[in-house]
Amino acid sequence: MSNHKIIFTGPVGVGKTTAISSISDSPVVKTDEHASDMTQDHKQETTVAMDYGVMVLGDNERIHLYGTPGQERFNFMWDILTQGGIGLVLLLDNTRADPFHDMDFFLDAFKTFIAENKVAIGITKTDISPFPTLEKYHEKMKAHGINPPLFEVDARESKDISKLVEALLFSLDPWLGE
Amino acid sequence: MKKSTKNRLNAIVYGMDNRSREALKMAFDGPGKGCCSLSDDVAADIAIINIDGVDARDILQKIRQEYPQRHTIVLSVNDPQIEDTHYVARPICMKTMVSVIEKVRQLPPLEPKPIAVESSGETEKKKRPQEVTEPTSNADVSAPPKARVQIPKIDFSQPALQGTYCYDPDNYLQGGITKAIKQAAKKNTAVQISIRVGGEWKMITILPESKKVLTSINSTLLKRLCTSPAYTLEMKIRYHNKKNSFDLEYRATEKKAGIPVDAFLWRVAFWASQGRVPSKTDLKTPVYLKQWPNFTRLKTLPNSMRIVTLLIDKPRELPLISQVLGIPYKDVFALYSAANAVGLAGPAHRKVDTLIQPEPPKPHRLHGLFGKILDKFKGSE
Repeated sequence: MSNHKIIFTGPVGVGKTTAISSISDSPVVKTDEHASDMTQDHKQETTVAMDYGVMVLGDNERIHLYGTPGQERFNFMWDILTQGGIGLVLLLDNTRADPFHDMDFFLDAFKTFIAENKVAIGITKTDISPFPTLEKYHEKMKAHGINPPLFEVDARESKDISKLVEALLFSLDPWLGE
Repeated sequence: MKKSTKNRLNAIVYGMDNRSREALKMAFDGPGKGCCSLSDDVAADIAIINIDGVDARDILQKIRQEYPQRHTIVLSVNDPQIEDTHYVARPICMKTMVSVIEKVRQLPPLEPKPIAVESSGETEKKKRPQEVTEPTSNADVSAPPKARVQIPKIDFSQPALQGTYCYDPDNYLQGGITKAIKQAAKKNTAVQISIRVGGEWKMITILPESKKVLTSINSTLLKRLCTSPAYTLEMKIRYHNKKNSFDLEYRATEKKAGIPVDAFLWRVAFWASQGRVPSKTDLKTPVYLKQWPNFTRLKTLPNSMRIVTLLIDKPRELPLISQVLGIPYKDVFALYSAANAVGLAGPAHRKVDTLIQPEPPKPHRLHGLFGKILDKFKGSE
């Protein structure tokens, strides 16, 4: 059996669990608990370990989809979860107070992994808050020295999430057929 | 096994489509110096299998059970480390292939034993003689899961070809829309383009504050208008007053009406281009792409992500992208025209007089796996 994984990360409430659900072949295993910190301003429950979904490609191949917990106090999990990963999907919430700070934080936290693999970035909730624009994200990205796929996504829409994952794969290998 | 005539081995091929088989056959007859000929005989002297193909490993297991003493050559982008096989890298270098075939010719038949074909992630790597050399462009026979098309080189500087590969956006609706967008931004007021269609006026309204376009023109009609020369269209442009502009902006923002300007112009430019580049484009100058287009909200073009990956990597000449990826020129040109129209792409400025064309990135070690993920996404569309 061949097993590989794609990691989904981003701040609390951005839609990691929803995004994994939209492309997972099995119901997502969630590890939610009642939020006790400021997270409860965003939602009642929050992921405290990781989310897990799976894409089945055939009898012998699985792509495991891991969603990291969003709060920084669980960042010890991030290194563990990225081991053996083929790429990172970073989701950013356009309704948060400072999404650029979130972007800087997560790109720094996963810097080593991104340098060896790739990242694709999805901006969620642009229908609720159209600003900042994607152009602004691209400008801020220059400070990190990378130019990854960066799309608006609705985490509930499998076509958006699958397009983001496709872009991640193509950025790793342009020889894939279309 | 069937005896080969003279010194030519017979080979049965698995995991290749007809085009790739023909290419390999020609390569054996040409650069391969007749060392091997392809056969449909299942009892041929050797087997050649593209192990990156679907179900290839199952096929390999089966044929090795049926002919356990026969040598097998496996073709793959990366060495799959399968015991008792001979590896040749894809794209195939004929010098390497000939060398492997000559080596196999000298070897005794294999000792029959239980066959285990394991995936690369589950076995320890076993030592094998290194048979891989860098593929050379002259002798390459590419046999990817989908056969790579050989794109003929064209001298685009020929005047006779200008109309085929170039177009002037100003001669199409694209020019009018681009000017309207600039005027709307400059005057900070909504600009309306009216086009007479069958006795009726159809509107396209550009809103500078919300950066949206309001229009009731459907996609089919819009495409027709975009591909028609501008002189065939009856058009008027007018500027809205401040009050009307405000009402329209409110409609776009609060009622979430309209299409983002970039997404609209991207579509318009793609249709207007019809697989051509804007007329001032020098096809010998590398072009850059500033950033990934927002593909979840833009019209998807054929091969777009492959083209973007190469352009994001480094500036490159557009015809060379087509040749390297084996995709039609029109796909590359159309994407460039759309990206250029929205300000994402343009000519790169050379730092030195002669530019060495950057090498394209190599396929990823998990190329086959990535292909299966893409197929899965396509299947669920």
